[in-house]
Amino acid sequence: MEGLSALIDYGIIGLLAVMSIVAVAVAVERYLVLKNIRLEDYPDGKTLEIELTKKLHLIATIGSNAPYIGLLGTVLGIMLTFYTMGREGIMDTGKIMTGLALALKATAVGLVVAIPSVSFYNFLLRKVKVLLAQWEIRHGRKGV
Amino acid sequence: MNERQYGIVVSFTLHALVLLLFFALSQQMKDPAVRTCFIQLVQAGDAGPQAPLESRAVKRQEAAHADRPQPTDQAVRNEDRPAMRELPAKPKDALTGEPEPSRHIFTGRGHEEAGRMAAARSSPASVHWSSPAVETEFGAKGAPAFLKMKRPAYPRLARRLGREGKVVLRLVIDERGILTNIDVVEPAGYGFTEAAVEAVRGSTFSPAHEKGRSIAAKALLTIRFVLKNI
Repeated sequence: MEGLSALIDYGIIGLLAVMSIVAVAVAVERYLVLKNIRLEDYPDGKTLEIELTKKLHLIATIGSNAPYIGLLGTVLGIMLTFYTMGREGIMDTGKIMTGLALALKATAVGLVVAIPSVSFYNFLLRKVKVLLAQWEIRHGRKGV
Repeated sequence: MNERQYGIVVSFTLHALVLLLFFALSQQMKDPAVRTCFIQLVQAGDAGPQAPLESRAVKRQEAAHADRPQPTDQAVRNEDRPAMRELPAKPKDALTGEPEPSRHIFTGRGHEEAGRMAAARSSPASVHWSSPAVETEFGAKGAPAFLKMKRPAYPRLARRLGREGKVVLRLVIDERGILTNIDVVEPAGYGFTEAAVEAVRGSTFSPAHEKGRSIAAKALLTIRFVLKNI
């Protein structure tokens, strides 16, 4: 049971750490690309749109899923704590409390990962919209 | 491609920094300061092995004076401010040389007061005019008690070093329950004494009582600082 709890603990938090690194890396890269893009290079609006929105879905997925993964870690941790409590009869209150606290840690880490991800995604999305609108101004708007 | 590499590098660096910070903070928090500290108030018997030698000596002296025909200083004190009343009596005696005027102060108490005056004059306890000679310890029957106890703060240095200690104080509490004097009978290092004295100063007490009346008294108080792991 100790091994299972360590697996849950480190597995979930490890996964969240990887997700966080990926989200930040992709966000930084996308920001640099959007800053340096030249709208003249794209005669076709849709090609530009494809090029601009590459990898944004990754950041969005990480931002929306990280809390759920954290919650999963917490739920598993609490389940495990209660199970061991039930198995061993009366358990040391200190141990119960520390078990629950560590379980809640997973949710906390999930939120810490999600908050910057969602913020980055929204900023990047806005930048994409602005660039597309600028392209449309430049190349005339169809159907206006 | 350059942007992608740049992004990865920045991300790794940021996360490494955050992790380092987190670990540094958690290391700092792991010091023994988080352990629970127990502070025990122990009732030290006056004649017990824990009691300091001075209190035992005082008891012996007072016992010796019990041989005299007058009641000893540990007898019932019926008036409210015994110390204050003895003070004006003495100078009057010296000046006028007449025991009569001083007796008027203690109306109707005659022989007992005269005896007490004599005992007070002759016993070594008379040197301390303003201190009551009723000596007891916290927890004994009729002894002073805490009305509101200010918990002593465990000294930081001692906690870090994992030190425990014991401080014995003699508190003089008058009949209104006000602390008039603190004597450190048995000090301890690492800031225990100061912590104990400060806690006692911030506490309020109820006075000692004997036969239903509040009296001034001295009381021994032992404060033991104990570290307990959860």
